[in-house]
This record gives sequence, C-alpha cells and structure tokens, in this order.
Amino acid sequence: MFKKYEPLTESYFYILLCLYNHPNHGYGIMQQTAELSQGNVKIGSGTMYGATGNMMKKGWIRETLSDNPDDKRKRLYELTDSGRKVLEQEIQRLKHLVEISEKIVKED
Amino acid sequence: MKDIITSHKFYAVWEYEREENDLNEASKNGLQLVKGGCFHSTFCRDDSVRYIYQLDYCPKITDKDRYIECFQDAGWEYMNSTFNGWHYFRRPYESGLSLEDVKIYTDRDSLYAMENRWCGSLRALSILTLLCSLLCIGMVLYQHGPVNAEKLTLIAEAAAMLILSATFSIALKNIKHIRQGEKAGSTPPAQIVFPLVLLILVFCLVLNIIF
Repeated sequence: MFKKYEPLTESYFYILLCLYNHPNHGYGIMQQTAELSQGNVKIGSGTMYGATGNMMKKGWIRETLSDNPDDKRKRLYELTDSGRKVLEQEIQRLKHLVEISEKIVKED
Repeated sequence: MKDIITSHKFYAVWEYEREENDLNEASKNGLQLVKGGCFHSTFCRDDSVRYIYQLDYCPKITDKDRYIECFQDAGWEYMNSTFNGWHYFRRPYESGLSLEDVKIYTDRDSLYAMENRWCGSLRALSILTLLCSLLCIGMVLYQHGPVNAEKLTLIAEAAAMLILSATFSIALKNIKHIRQGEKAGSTPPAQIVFPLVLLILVFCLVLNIIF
C-alpha cells in the first residue's frame, strides 16, 4: 500500500515553506532557503526547475504574475490550498518524529 | 575580430561531467566556449574572462522561458541547446568558488532523475546492440563452408556491436556503483570506442562493396 503523503525531500519542503506567507519568485526562494538553512541547503537551478514543475503538476503550487511594476521578475510561484495542506501535514509528521525521539533520546 | 576555433571532440552521455571539467579548464586557459554541440563546438580566444560551465539534460521542456529563467535566477547564462536535449550554461568564475557551490542539481533525487532521463535509452541501446551482435554471430554459424569475406565482415560487425554493448553496460554498471556508494571502475573512453566501432563498420561496408 502506498501512503497518501510521502515525506517531502528537503528541497520540496524549503520551496513550499518559502511560499507559505506570500508568493515568491525562483530567485527569492533560492535566497530565502540559503538564509533559513544558514547556507546548509542550496537549491540549484536544475533541482528548482524539476521541483517546481513537479509540484505544479501535482497542483501544490501555481504560477502567477507579479503586479508590482518594479519587479523585474514577473513570474511568481504561489501555494495552492492543497500545497498548503501538504506542507502542514509534513510539519505535523516532523513534529511527531521529534516528540517521539525526545522520549527515547534524552539529551542532558 | 576574435579567432574562432572549432572542436570536434565529443563525449558520451555518461561523460557530461568530464565535458564540464574540460570546458572549465579550457576557459581557464583562455579558450571560451561560444556554442556547445555534440560533435561540433566552437570556441573563441579571450584571456580577459573566465567561466564555469554546467550541462543539463532535459529533452522535454514544456515551458522554455520558465526553464531559462530558473537558471538566470541562480546566476546562469543560457548559451545554447543541442538537437538531442543538452543545454549549456555558464557563469563568470569568481575566485574561491568551488565546483560544488555551483552545481545545478543540489539533491540526489533530482540528479538521479536527470541521469535516469538518459539511462533508459542507454539500457535500450545496450540490449539492441547485443541483439545485433548475436544476430551476426547466428548468421556466421548458419552459413556452412569455408571462411569467406562475407563471414569475415559478419564477425567484424558482431565484434563492433559487442564492443558497443559492453561499453554501454559498463557505463550503466558504474553509475549503479556510484549510486550505491561503491567504488566505480572506469568506462572505456567514448573517444576511442566510438571511432573504433565506426572504423570497423566502414571497413565492413567497403568489404561488402568490393566483394
């Protein structure tokens, strides 16, 4: 049996996270990912193109155009309701993992 | 007027990283790629710049604007594409920049997905060439009588196909080894294998025409 939601890869997770509060362009996602992960996670353009393409196919994100005239990059990505749900479920899953691990692995 | 230098050096599909390294090395030595191709690349001499190159394999692009924009967002300049789905990108070299910092595939899944786009064809080709080879051997065995020119050409063709099939299989096996974290052997270089096979096939063709 396949689970309904597979765990997200780190790149997918960061992309969805960078879109959670507002639409963002590819450049913004790459920058924010580097900031959030303190430079530990990078999203290269090949990975980015594949991931955004896949997530658009799955209906988690969609393309939208920026209406800000100062914005040189017109193409923005936006989270859909189903993408939001996927991300929130993943966060729940991760929280649960941390909780149960804390019961077993006690750090002093 | 900068002099244009043409190169006919070619690379097998599994040698794309070697091509990137060769392009980086050439750029360091003042030879800048102008247009990349499978069998025909052009360079120009320019010592004032230095670039880093990356190749991507993506034969089915639904939205080329979005594709190129994705690369531009990360500082890549799109150069050109080959007929069979390879795309050439470059960015100015900055001192201290390591190759690991500028990889266009930054996770395992997406890198494997890119490689898998050509691994399938490679596997099909290795089976096809093996079947061709077996067919030639079968025809040799079927024909009775002394060894003649026809038999010789069939044997040569079988050998050529077998060499191709073996090379493709070794390349695929090495990819598998690398993915499993094992030590991979070396694949026979395409720069020797492909001309050799071509030479044998041309030789067979000439022999067939003469006799």
